[in-house]
Amino acid sequence: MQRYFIPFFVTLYLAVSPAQASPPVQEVHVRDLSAWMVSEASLPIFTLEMAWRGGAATDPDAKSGLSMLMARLMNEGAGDMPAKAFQQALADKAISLSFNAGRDEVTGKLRCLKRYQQTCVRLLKLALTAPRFDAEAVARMKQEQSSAILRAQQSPSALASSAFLKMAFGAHPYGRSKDGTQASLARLTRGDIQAHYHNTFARDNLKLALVGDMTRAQTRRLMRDVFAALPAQANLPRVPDVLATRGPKTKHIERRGPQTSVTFGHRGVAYKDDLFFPAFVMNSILGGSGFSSRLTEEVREARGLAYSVYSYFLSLEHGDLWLGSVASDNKTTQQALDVIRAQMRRIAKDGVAEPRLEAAKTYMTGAYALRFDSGAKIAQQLIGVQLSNWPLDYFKSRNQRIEAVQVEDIKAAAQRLLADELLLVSVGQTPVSLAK
Amino acid sequence: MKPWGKFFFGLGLAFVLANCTPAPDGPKVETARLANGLEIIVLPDPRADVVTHMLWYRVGSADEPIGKSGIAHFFEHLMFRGTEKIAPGEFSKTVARLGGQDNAFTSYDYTAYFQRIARDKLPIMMQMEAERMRALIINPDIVAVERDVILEERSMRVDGRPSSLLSEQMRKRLHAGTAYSVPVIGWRDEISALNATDAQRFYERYYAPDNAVLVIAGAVTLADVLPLAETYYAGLTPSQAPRDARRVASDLRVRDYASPQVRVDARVRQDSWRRLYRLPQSTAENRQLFAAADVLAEVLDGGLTGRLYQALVVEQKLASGVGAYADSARLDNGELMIYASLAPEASFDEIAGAMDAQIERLVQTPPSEAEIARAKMQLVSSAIFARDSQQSMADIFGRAAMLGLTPQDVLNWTREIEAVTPEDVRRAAEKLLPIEHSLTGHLSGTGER
Repeated sequence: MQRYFIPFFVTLYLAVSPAQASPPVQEVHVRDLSAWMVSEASLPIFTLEMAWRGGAATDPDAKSGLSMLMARLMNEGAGDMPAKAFQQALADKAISLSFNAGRDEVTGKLRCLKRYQQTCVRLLKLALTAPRFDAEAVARMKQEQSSAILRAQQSPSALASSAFLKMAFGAHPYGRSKDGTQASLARLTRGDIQAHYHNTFARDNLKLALVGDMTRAQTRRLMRDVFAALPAQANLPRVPDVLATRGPKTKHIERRGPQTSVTFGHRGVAYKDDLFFPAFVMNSILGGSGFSSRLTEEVREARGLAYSVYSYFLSLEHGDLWLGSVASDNKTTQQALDVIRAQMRRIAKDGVAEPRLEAAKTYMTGAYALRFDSGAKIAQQLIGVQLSNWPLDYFKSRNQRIEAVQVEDIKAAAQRLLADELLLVSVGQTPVSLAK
Repeated sequence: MKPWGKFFFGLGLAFVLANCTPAPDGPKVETARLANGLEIIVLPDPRADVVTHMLWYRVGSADEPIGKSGIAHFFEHLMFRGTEKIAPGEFSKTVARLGGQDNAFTSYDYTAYFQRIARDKLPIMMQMEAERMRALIINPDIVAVERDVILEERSMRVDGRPSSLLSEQMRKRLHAGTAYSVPVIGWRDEISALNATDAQRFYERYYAPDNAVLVIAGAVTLADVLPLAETYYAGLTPSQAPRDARRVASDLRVRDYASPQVRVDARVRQDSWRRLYRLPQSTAENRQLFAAADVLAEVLDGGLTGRLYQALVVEQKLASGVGAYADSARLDNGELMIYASLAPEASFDEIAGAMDAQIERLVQTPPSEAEIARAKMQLVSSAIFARDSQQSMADIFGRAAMLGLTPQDVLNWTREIEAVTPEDVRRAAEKLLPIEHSLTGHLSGTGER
């Protein structure tokens, strides 16, 4: 067996040449509409991702959950077809059309077999331009959403993260649940939904991404046929920018069970900030790269204190967070948090050594290609990059910007961004202390 | 997406050594086998310069010795904790440093390890995967730490989740007397007692080339893969100790089926109802029955157009959500599950009554042609949509191989679905869904309905 082996260290000195991540992306314009597309005809299918700026952050305070309820209703009947007839028309041609509400946008996703392109486009247009919002469907989707609110209350990690957002953002819309509360949901009327629909689904707040068996000309026609019929301008309230409250601050929610689930974090960094890429790489080393991260090494592999521990930046349109999460046995939760905080202090004090930075960079740049190995994933990237307000050259510049990060940048990013004054929510039987 | 290939047949390990012959527009599948018994399946997809490299072992939790529950999954964790040449923790770090991602999973019937990475790194992945097949070092200190990690995993996935606890208790009764009555992750007290000796014994028997299938999807062909496989995997010694035959239930009746498994748990906010039906073992002889079962589950579920949703959510307003799912991709007895989230005023009895009525209706009267056509459209097109993802393709063909199916069997599935008639679906309901073969579960926050 021995003879089959190349010594392992050889691999570490190979020139790293990450695969070309993204396939060629074209920008397509039709009047005031634009879309990013990848034309790829090897499979007879296509995916269209749509996003309208707005979303749960634009819900009025007393009517939180409105965007989500509207999104749930966008495939529940259109034109002369009530919900069942519309859903059957989709199913008869294996068309998948669904909508969702994010914090800053309402999204739609359409997946079609090429041979049913015409039906697919016709049903999409009907859903977008003539949704019915029938009383029956409104009541049913309210029930579904109410059930989603209840389910979120029985998951320790969901409880911790929603309490964390409330602590961080207070009365700002980001502090609320996208599903709203039982009380706000009960208040929503068909009139509210109708009005919000007219205010949201416009052309000036629309981003589009299309991937699959469609030519440029076919895409232009689809854009004209479907989206030109929408109003020119959205009419939504301006969402104010917000800075997360400062720590240290803790909150404990008592819940029976073997583990305490913890969400911790503080202010983050915006995409447009010069520190974003150094911070992004720094976090990858600290807690963002799964099995390779220091948090996994120290909390899981060295001490067996948790199965899952990680950290990430959440960059929203109007506010930014750095967040982390861990779940550990009630007896060891405090120890797990102490180890995590020690790692935060370590990276801020000592930075990282060159080989560790190089390993993080080759991971981040190399693994980027894994986000482009299916049409559905490429479409998600195309819409996601637009929603983050990056330009089209992001698909090339992203890896260059990661490569450019130096060891001193990591330390600087950690010192500026990793404050030890944490906000922290624990759900379980161990209230976590930040005293030490 | 509906998993493509919720089917299987038999244990007859018939190897296809030639290329499969899919429909002209179907996926390309290439197969080979090394002299030491390692099977190879290649699923070329040139669209991205990336590969998914998976090694599947024919061993799962259902092959564990009595009293050693959790060892298969425990072992999967240990595979990342060091070999003769790879230091503990270095396996995944090396994959990451090369720009890839890796992970593994364990099920009742199989354990699989995978890396996703740029094509030019495939040789190194093979070198590392081959190394840990036969040269793992099981260090007792590391075993002790990893056991704590797994207990935390069990806490997160099961003990902290009332719904998982209920399912575990239901399967204990549903599959009583067979290996599927034990959860994949293991019972807590048995996990706590696992040690390095248990792991070593398990490793020597099952981690061998003649007990494994190599599946590679992505920007390669068999012509690229075969020389590499010869280099890295051909030198490994077979163990010639395949798993033992298991006990399969042929009498499908469940003891005390009429008394539901009830879990009252104050952590529950949304009450729910579920029922599991124990299915017969899927074999070469009853393939058409299981194709009909896939259509049957689609007729019942089918999202908003399905029968359960229309009846319980839209018309009777007893539930806020419902579903049906056939999991026949098992070596022994599969399961068909139906479930509902209770609307605020509904009782468990009302839900059961409404569900029973829908099953009875299917047993009495075949579904309409339009319903069957719609269900088939969903299932058959899922096979086209699955081809968009090299990861899904590797998963589908790898899983099928673990169940004794050939790639050709997978490719034939859409034709079997197309052949299902309304009367086949009615017969499948009659044969597979007698109440005596099932167990019902109630998950409730207060126990008051």
